[in-house]
Amino acid sequence: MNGHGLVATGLVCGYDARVILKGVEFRLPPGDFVGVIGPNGAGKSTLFRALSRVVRPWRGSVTLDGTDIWSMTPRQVARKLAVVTQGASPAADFTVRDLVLLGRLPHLGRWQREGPADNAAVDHALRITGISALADRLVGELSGGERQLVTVAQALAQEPQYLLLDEPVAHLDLAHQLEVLDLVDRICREHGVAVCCILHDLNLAARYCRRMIMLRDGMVVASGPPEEVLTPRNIREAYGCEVLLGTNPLSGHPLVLPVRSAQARPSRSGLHVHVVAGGGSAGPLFGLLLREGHWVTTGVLNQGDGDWERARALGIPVLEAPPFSHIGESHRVQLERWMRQSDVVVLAAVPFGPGNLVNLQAVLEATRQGIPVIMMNGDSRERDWTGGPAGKLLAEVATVAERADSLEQLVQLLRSRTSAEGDASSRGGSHRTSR
Amino acid sequence: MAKLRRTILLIHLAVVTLLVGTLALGVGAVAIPWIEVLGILRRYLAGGPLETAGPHAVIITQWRLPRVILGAVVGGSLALAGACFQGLFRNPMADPYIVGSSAGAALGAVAAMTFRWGWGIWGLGPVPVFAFLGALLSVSTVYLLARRGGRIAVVPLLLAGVAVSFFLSSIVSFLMIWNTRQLKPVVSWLMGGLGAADWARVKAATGYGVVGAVVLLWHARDLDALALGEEEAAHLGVDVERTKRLLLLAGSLMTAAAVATSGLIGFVGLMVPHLVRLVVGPGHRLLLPASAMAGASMLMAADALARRVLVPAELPVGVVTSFLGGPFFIYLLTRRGWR
Repeated sequence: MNGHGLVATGLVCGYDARVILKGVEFRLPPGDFVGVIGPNGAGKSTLFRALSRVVRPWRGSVTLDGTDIWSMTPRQVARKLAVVTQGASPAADFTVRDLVLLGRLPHLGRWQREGPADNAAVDHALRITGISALADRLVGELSGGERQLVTVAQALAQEPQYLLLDEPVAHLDLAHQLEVLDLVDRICREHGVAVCCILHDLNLAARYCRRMIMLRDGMVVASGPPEEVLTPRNIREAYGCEVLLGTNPLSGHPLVLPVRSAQARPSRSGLHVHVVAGGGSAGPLFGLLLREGHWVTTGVLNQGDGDWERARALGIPVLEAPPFSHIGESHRVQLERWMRQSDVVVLAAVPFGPGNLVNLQAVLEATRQGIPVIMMNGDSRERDWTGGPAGKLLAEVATVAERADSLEQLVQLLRSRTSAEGDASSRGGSHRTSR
Repeated sequence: MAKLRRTILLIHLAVVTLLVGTLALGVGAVAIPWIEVLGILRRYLAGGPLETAGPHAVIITQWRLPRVILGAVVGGSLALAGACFQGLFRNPMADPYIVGSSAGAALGAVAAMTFRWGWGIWGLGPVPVFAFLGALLSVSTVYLLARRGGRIAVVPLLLAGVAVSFFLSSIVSFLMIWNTRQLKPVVSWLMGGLGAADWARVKAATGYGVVGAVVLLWHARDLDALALGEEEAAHLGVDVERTKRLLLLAGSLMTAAAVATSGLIGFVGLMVPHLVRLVVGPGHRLLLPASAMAGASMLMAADALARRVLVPAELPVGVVTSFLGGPFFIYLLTRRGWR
């Protein structure tokens, strides 16, 4: 098995004097489905060009089933390896059938007419891609999605063992993206064709690829199964982007949610906002505050709490307690210290029970120390699960705290504070009395 | 079905081409009835005695036959060169004129005439050889100038073609003024005409033309693949660089065949592949032979017209083709735009 597959070792190549790939290891075993991901300019398309014998490596090698592709003729390579390039086909005046028939080119002799085997391959390719009905239409009359299916059909007519697709779903709408990738997946599973796909949508990549490699600046950042490659750390390193990582509830695949660019983090104008949340009450609050440029802390939260997960994914410092445990006095001391350091405390619409009542007591303490508190008015959901004490505390906090009925209002309140903060010369203290 | 349609179409075209050819034989200062033309041709092909057949037989076999055949070869070569350049440059505006190969061939030919270079290769005179070299040099230059990231865009192509053509034309003019003794033959040759047709020219043009045509037909499928883009063609197993070099050679050879034997005849290479493509579609395995025959028919017909319009005087056939081709080019520019 060792020699099989499409394998690149120590691949260094580029254009003119510009080096693009700086030592890339790549392996597409027979029948596998490998994704190539990475930011623009990472060298993904160049990798494809090197793999498909278009760009000659400066160093390193590419082998196809054990044979160096540069010791093969372009024809020999094209019989085993088909490539779907990016962008629409410019050959608008070909009929679909004639265009797909071009896929037979590497199998046909110079003066040879296409025979029954070629027509069968074309029919088969049209059938698999579901465009038999379009066979006699002109390519120029088709929609973008249909055109992409035609290029895939052409590649299939080559009867390849390896199929490379460069962003096959760019410019396609959601339904067509799934249609094309489902098709490619079927080609891989049912027809045993090894597939390698450049994809920009990490969630689609996670859903379809069995393995992936992540490129950045011509080097492999990570490779392996999607769960190992798609970590917030890898993504931050490759894309310079913070993401929230979850699990696709339908399939169990990683689910990536871009949050913001990591570069936006060091914001000088933002406030230090401590959020008291829990049980999912924070909702989109964390993300919103981060986008507004504030420095956010939260707690005390039990490990495993929905808000705890969210805060961790966003890289927000969390004051945490063990799962399902009472939040005790030791935490309260720490929490009050954190609150004293913050400019504003935001009390989300948290329901309070015996386990987290300490948080509410700390908030009340904060109001007494003159720390501004903004209280989010949640829905009319019951918030007192202590049989009295929490309700009383809430009412007491409500007398001194500012109220925000919506996230929008909260943003406004914080913005007005930010500008007040800008006027104040020192951080903390003085401005708190100004309102 | 498609194969049958293709064969029928090509047979039709072949019949039309032969028909146009025989009709053209009858046209000229002396009109000869078609029936008589056929009779003379039959006897000529059978190798019968012509001396006794009267003056019409002499006119047909000595004068008009080489001229009509040369017209067919030159028209076919220009159309094939046009189809080749249009496919290679992936651009409907390309033709031997636009891409500078005509100007290059003209310079080669005029230089050979001016300096009376006496040598040739493979039994060809110096004029076709230098026409070929000139065409090759100018097409390669334009190709390199117009290339931007692996693609040939319309504007750079037109600009590079025009610039190279003007530059080469200025050298041609210089050579003409510099050596006025050769002025007259050079000028009448440059105007583009089939008037000086003889069997030697027919042989030279046919030799180049057949070689070029074979190379082109050899690469018909590769031209189809190149229509998708160079990288896409490579993925289909086409050795792109080698194919491009061979196609540039073939296109230059066919331009040289035409220019060296009949001067500058414009627009055939632009118009014919275009019109043919509208009928037969973009596949080169049909487009190339169909263009060759259509080009042959068109130039034979244009030459017949050129002989007929100002009897007893003759128009250079280049005047007729340019008169038709200029408006056609403008139509293309406005219709297909500068995409």
